[in-house]
Amino acid sequence: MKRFLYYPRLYTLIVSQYIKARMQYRADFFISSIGILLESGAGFFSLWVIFHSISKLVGWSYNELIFIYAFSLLAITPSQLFFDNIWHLSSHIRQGTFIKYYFRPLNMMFYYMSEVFDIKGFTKLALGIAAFIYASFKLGITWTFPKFILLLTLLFSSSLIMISLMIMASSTCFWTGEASSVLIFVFKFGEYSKYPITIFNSFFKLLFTYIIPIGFVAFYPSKFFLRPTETNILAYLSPVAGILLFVLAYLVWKKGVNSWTGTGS
Amino acid sequence: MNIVKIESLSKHFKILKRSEGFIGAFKDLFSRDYKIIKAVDNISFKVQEGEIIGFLGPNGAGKSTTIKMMSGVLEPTSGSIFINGYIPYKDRKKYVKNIGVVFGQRTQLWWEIPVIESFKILKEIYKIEPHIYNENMKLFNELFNLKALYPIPVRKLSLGQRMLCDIVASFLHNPKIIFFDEPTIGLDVSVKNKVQTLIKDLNKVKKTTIILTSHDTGSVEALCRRLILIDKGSIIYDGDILKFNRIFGAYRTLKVELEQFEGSSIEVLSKTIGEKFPCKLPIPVRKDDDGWISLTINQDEVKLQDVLNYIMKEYPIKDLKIEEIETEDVVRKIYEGELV
Amino acid sequence: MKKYLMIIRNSFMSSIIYRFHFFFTSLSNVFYIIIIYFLWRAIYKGSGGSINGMTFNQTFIYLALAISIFCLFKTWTDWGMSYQIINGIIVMNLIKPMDIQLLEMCNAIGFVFYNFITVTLPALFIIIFIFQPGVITVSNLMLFLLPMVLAFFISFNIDYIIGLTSFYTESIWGISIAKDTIVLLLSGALIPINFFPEILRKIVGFLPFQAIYHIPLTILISKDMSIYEYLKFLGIQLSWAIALYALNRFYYSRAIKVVTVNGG
Repeated sequence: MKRFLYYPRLYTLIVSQYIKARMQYRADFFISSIGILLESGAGFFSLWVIFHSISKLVGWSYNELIFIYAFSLLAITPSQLFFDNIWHLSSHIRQGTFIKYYFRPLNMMFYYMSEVFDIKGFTKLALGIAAFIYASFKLGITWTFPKFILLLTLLFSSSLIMISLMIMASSTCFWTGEASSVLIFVFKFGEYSKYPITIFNSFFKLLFTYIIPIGFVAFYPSKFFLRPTETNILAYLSPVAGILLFVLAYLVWKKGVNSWTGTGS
Repeated sequence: MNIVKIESLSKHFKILKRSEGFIGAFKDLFSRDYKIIKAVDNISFKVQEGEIIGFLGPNGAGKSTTIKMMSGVLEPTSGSIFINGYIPYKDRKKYVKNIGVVFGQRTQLWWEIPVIESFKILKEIYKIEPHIYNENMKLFNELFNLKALYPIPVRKLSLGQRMLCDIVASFLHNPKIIFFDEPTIGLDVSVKNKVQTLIKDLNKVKKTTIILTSHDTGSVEALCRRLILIDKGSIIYDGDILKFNRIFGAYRTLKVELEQFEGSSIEVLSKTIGEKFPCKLPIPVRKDDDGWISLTINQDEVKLQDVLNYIMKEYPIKDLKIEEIETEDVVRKIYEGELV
Repeated sequence: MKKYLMIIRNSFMSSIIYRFHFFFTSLSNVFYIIIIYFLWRAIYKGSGGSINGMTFNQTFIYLALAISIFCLFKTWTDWGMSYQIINGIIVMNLIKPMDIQLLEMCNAIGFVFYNFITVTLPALFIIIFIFQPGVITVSNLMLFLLPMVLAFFISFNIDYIIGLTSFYTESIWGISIAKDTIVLLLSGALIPINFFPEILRKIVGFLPFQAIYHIPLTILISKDMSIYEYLKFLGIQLSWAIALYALNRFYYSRAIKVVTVNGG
C-alpha cells in the first residue's frame, strides 16, 4: 500500500509547496486569468458573430457548437494544469539543465512534470464548466448518473489524447533542440478540435480521425450527448485511443531521454 | 574494494558541421554533413571506496562526458562501466538511489521552493529514515551553519549559497559515491574555500567516495589525493597528487602588462629571456588575448624574482600578477615529457 | 547604421539555425489556412453565395492573408523584453550606445525576414496556386507595400508597449496572450470586420488594430480604389504610427525608471 501511494504522496508534497510559492505572484495570476478568459472567450465570440449570419453550421446549431467547444476546453485543461512544464522542455534541453532529472530515483516523466503546476488552468476550467452547463441547459440535456460517468470517462480519454500529442510534440526537441514550433502546431490542433469534423472533406476527415486524432478530443465524444442516435462505433474507441496514444507518447519520451547527449552547456 | 571499474570506455558524438555566414545558414537547413567527435576515447581506471579523486583537464577535454557516463545520463559508445554493482545507464533508477550528483551552476533543488522544503521533498524521494535525516541535518549544522538559508527560495540564493545547499543536499541520503562537476566554477575565492572545506569535511566524516572534475589545478590540489589528468578524451596522467605537485607545484605563471609593447617584440623578449635564463626547456613566453604577457616559470630552475627584475629593467611595467600554473600549460608540459 | 544592420542579420541567423523548427512553422500556418478554408466553406454552404457583401472567395483570401500577416509580424518583441528584464540582461543593452526601441525594432525586422520565408511565402504560394483567387493584381501588390511597412511599424509599437509593461509585471504570459487575442479579434483577422454587428464595427474603427490588417488587406483585394481613398487609409495608418510612437517615447522614459531606480 505504501509503495502504491509513493508517487501520489510525493506529487502532493511538491505541488503544494509549488502553489504556496506561486501565491506570491497574485497580480500575475490575475493578469494571466484575464488573458485566458479573453483567449477562450474569443472562440465563443467568433461563434456568436458567425451565427449572426447563419443559423446552422453543417447541420449543427449554435448551442451544440458551444457544447462541443466547452467539451474541448475541459479536455485541454488537464494538459495545462499537470503537464505545463512541457513548454519549457526545449529551453531545459538547450541550456543543459535537463540533466538533473536523471539523478533522482524517480520516473523521469513524473519528476519533470511534477515540477510545474499551472494554477492558471483553473480559470480555463471554470470557463469550460460554465459554458458546458449553459449549453447543456439550453439544449435540454438530462443528466443521469450513468451519463455522468460516461462524461467523465470520455473527458479523461480526451485529455489523455491531448496530453499524449503534446508530450510527443515536445519530445522532438531531444533530437532537434527546439520544439516550440511543433508544440504550437499540436496545441493549435487542440483548438481546432472545437469544430465538427464533418466540415472537412474525406481526406482531412480521415487525417483528423486516425493520424492526428483530434476528432476524438471533442467532436466524437460530444456526439454521445448531442446526437445519441447518430453515434458511430468510432466514439467507443475514444478511451482505447487515449490509452494507446499515451503508451506511444511515453515510449517516444523515453527514447528521447535515452538518446539525449546532454550537451549544450 | 573498488567501487568504480571502468575499462576502455569511449563516447563518440555525431554532430552537424555548421557552415559560416548568411548563405551557410541557409545551406545547413538541408545539410547532412556530419562529423564524429571522440569526446572520450578509450579510458580505463578504478576507484577505491572512500577515495576522493579529481579529474583535471582543459575545457572540452572530456571530463563532463565521463561524469555523465558515470552518473547514468549517457550510454557509452563502447567499453564497460561498473559502479557500486550497477551499470549506470542500464539500471538508472536503482543505481541513482545510492549516488549523489552536483553539476556546477545548475541547481538540483526546486527553484521556487525554500531550501528546507526541498530537503523535505528529498527525504520523501529517497525514503530517508527520520533518524538518519535528523542526524544528517544536525551534522550539516555542526560543520557548516546553513540554517539562515533554509527559509529562502532557491532562486533567491546567490551562486555560492546555492552551491553549498546543493552539496549538503547531495549527502542527505548517505550515498556511496558523489560526483561533483566543476563545483567551484564561477565562485570567488572565499566561497571557493568554503565549498572545498565542506566537501573535504563531509568526505572525512561520511567516508563517501567522491569524484570531482575541475578545470583549475588549485581546487583539485586542495581536495584530492589522486589526480586523473584528461585531455582530448584520453587520460594522460593518473596518479598521486604529491608527485604531480612536486613537479608542477614549483611552477608559477608570471603575468605582466607592459607599456608600449609592440606585438612583434614578443619574439625578441622570448629570445632574450631564453638566453638570459637557460632551462631544460626554454621558458615559454606568450601574449594573451587581453594584452598581458605570461611566462611559465619553474622555480626549481630559475628564480621568479630574477626574471621579474630583468623585465622591469628592460621595459616599463604597468601591472603584474603571479598565478598558479594553468591547466593548459600542465597538459603541454606533460606532452613535452615532464611527468614520465 | 552598420551596427543596426548587424543586429537584423544576427536575429535572422539565430532563428534560422533550427531547421526542424523552420519546417514546422511553415506547416503550422499552412494547416491553419486549410482549416479556415473548410470552416468558411461550411459557413457559406448554407447561404446564397454572399454574406455581408463578401463572397466566399473574398472572405477566405482575406482571412488567409490576415493570419499570414499576423505570423509575419509575430516577432516576440514583448517576450524578448520581458526575458531581458527577468534575467537582468536589459542592463547590458542600456550601456550600449544604441536606442533601445531602435534596437528592438532591428531585432524584430530580422524576425520578419525569417517569418517571411517560413510563413508568408509558403502561404502565398498555397493561396495563389492552389486556391487561385484571381483578385490580386500586380498594381494592387505595389500599392500594398507602403501600407504594409506602416502596419509593421504599428504592430511593433503595440508589442513594444506590452514589452515595456513587462517591466512592471512579473511575467509576460498573461498580457501577451490578452494582447494577441485583442489584436487578432479587433483587427478583423479572425473574422472579417464586415461580419461584426454595427456597433462593434464603429468601435473598432476608433482603435489602432484595424490599421494593421484591415487596411492593407482591403487595399490588396479591392478592385478599383480611388487615390483619395488610398491616401485616406495611409493617413489613418500614419496618424496611428505617430501617436503610438510618441506614446512609447513617453512610456519608456517612465518605465525605464523601474530598471535605473530599482536596479531591475
